[in-house]
Amino acid sequence: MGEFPNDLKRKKFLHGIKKLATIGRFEIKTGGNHQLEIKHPNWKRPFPIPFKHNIVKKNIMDGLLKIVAQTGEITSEEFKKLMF
Amino acid sequence: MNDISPIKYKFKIAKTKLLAYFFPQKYIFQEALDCFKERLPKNVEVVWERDADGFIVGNINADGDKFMTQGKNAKDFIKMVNDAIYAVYDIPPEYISKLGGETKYYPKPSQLALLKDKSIKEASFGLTKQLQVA
Repeated sequence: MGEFPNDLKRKKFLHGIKKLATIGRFEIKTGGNHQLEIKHPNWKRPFPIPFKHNIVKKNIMDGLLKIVAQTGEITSEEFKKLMF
Repeated sequence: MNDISPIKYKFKIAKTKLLAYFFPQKYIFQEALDCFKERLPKNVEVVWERDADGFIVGNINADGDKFMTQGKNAKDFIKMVNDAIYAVYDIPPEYISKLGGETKYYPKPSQLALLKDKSIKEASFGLTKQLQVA
């Protein structure tokens, strides 16, 4: 089982991701037709999150949490707090 | 920080696409188009699973770059995979239709049948770049 027990509502996700942009060297941008890109200087490519639907699936949030925590600028607990 | 409102972004790209349609010489440059064509990955592998509520969530591996996306059904999922690839490889929205649109990377018919079959809960497929007809 992943770290996120449920899917996240888009509104809640956007609220949390805006806070993430104020932490460390994370940068949030829009891209493609329906994507939010989370960028970090340590990553070769941005991590896209779709905002087309009303929910963001928990599997995607788990994937984001994993790579965000790997940067060392935020812990997984802090990230979960931002999102809930 | 950029504005990340989905509604404002949709309006912004709709406006840009419309202007690019009517004034292509101002918005679409052949050199940039060739560069974006080269930038796109050659091999894309997708491992997907279907949730209880019918959503398809996929792990994408595009020439070694790993990311994820989701779709409401098979058609939407393929569109979202393509859209995620364009976003990750930093392709501006007005160039997307010129590069093959949302079906540039398309699974084989047998793999598409698995994706459409709601009884199949997980599988994987490789996507191939569709050749663009001039």
